[in-house]
Amino acid sequence: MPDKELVKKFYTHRLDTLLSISDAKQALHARTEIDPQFSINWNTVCGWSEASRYDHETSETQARDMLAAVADPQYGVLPWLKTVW
Amino acid sequence: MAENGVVKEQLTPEMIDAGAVLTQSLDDHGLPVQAAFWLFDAEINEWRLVIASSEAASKGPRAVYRRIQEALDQLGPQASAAPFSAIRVVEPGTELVRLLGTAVRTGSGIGRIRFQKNVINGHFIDDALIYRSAG
Repeated sequence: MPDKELVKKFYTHRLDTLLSISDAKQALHARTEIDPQFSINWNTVCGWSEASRYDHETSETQARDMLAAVADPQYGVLPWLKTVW
Repeated sequence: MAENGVVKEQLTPEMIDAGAVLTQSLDDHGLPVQAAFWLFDAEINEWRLVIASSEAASKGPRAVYRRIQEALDQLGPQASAAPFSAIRVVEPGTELVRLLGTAVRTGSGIGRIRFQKNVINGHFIDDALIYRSAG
């Protein structure tokens, strides 16, 4: 039987919460320790929330920042995430 | 003890000093900082140092993070209790910043105002240490 409380914690969009309950926390720490560019991207991505989808005041600069933080091939969060899942 | 049995992470004097030193350094470097505060995030039982800067909107959050990273590098051990991973850059117009601004107004200096267990416009603020809430 899975732990009910643990399962409930997965019902979130928050990356830092999901990280805490995954096995990826140490891997993230190892990467941020040595890679300032990646650290900036991780912090940037953690600023996203599901409510951001309805924010009409997001500027193009902010949108491009978020896209780069997620998808940059060398320093992006998503390429890194794919190495640990 | 927190409600779920987990011991609440404490905001230490070292963290408080480090946040103040960093805020001062950002001022010295000319980064516009409209609000700066430690905020307890109960969901992950961790503290976040929130920096609200108008440059987050005009130049993007990554540019602001870069400047914070440079400031932390220069400060070295003085700011080690405010690690980069704990910092969150937001715009001054963010709901949380606006909410705090309605309850606590500071000047442009650096104060240390503890704000605990308060409800502002229906939003519960568990714990915060405010250096600046200048709007």
